[in-house]
Amino acid sequence: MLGVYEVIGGIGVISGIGVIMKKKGVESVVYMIISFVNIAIWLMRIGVEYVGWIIMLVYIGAIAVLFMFVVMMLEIREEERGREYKGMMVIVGMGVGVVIGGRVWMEEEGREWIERKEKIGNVMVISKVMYGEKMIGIIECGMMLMLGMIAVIMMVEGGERKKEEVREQELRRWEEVIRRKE
Amino acid sequence: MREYEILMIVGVISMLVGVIVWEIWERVSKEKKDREKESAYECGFNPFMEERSGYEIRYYRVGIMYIIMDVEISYMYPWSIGMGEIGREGVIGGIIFMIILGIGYIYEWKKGGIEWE
Amino acid sequence: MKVIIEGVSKEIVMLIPMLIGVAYMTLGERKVLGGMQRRRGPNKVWIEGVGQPIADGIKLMIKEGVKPMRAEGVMYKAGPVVTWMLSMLGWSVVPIGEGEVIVDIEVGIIVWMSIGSLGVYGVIIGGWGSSSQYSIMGGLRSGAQMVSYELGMGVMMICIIIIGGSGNISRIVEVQEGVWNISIMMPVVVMYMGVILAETSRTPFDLPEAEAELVAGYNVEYGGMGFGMYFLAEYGNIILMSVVSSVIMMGGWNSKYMRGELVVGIKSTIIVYVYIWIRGSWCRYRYDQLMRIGWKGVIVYVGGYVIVMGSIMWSIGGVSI
Repeated sequence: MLGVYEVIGGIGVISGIGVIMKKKGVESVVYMIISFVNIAIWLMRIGVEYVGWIIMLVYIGAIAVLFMFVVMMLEIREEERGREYKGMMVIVGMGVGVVIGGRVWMEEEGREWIERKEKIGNVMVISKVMYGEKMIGIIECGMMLMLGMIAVIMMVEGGERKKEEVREQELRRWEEVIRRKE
Repeated sequence: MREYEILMIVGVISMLVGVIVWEIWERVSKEKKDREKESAYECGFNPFMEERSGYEIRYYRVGIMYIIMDVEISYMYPWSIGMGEIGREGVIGGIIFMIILGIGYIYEWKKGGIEWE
Repeated sequence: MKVIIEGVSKEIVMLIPMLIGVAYMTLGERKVLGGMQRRRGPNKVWIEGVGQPIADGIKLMIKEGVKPMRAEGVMYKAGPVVTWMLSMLGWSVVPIGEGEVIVDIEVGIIVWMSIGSLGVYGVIIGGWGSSSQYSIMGGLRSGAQMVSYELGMGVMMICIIIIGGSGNISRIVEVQEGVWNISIMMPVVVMYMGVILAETSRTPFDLPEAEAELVAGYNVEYGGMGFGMYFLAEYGNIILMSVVSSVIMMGGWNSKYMRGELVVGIKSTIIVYVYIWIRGSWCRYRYDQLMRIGWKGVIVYVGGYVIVMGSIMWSIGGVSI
């Protein structure tokens, strides 16, 4: 018997394939969002609601918005998207999915988490692990995010168009501008 | 579990209501086809350039800064919820995490990374 | 099966009052704005214009739909539908009385935040789908605006969670029995008002509708019910934002004299009135000013306030009862 959740998982996989099959960039991103939503629903189903909602908040609410901005800005042409590799990308992606899925399936540590969750609630477990046992990790995360901020500056610095100052525009004589254009 | 099922049903129904309203509207209102009416909006002349012709990189910058800060905020939610339980080390660790990001933010500010103009 | 019946009935109970509320908020807005400019506002349809919203609705429904030639079919349709859906989905986690909520989730406030952060898509997809320079530009600009103020909202919510000691909205209201959160949040409460104005893109942050610069922003190619759905979703968001503010900041349903739902209703009506009042008396910010307020003002001050208030709350053991 096929349940609702199996259908949702199927939609997730199909839209994952849609991401690489679609021609327009924006449509690919929309498929990616659908696939993320299905992943989030699955995570809620297996009992880690908080992680599911964080996927909603960070992956769909932030990262996919960035992708959306990028594909809208760059306007990548259809032929530039490497059409000949599409079939291979599907196969490679499925292979990677199977490997990672099998790895997660065999993981034992996860079971222990779910048992702990039953006692004190979902967010509290994450809180205790993040800010208790594995606190050095959170500091490292902070460092990495800071590196990210610095990287933004490095990347964007060259690309921005220099805007003329309004004052400069007012000071310049228009006859000169016309002469320079000619 | 039950809550999430109800939430899902509410979402599906909301979407269905939206789609149905749209479809009814499309059926009720007859569209008289006209070339000028259906062309893209412009003030009395044909558009000068392609509509999807690339936009400024500033939006990309806002997007990527948003990701970094959003990840930070989502790390802070467990800190704020579990504040009574994580003890002194946990609270101080969270504050150190925020201060590190604050240093990054100040650097960004000084370099002009969050200016719009 | 039982779940489906429960979901459907709750949805209907939520949907119809919300639509009536939105309809009469538009009338109220026009009346109040009229009063502020010393005119009468709509007063012809039925008694003192009570029938006006219904007439407007019928007009939007039978209006000719002009679909642009180059529009991307599905995306053009998806824009308003997604906005509308998210606007209604947001209601489902917000309690309006003791135990009166569609789904009671442990991390309700985070759920509400993440549903709210998806609202960008309706705008961007709609703007992109209608294939006009102005709509794409408007979609990008409103997207960037919403995204910037989402951060301020997130940090505010961290403050609220610290005070309440939980992510559950009912619990946050319980904690406010003695003292409203608005008094603890006093240093940043003006910024909170600014953030909720910018999140719902109202004056003085109504850049998405800045007629002078961008004709009408992302919804320039929409007419009839397409526009109507964007419009309903926007006003629904305003009412939702007011209800949430009255619940998490202004004490919610704690009252000795009246029924809780009535108290929440009165408080949210006052906030809606403030929305309209600001629209009647404030002028619009420029786009770079808007970005400056968001990135250099709200986030910095509220981020600092989280550290300060978090430390104080932790050292005195919280306000939890």
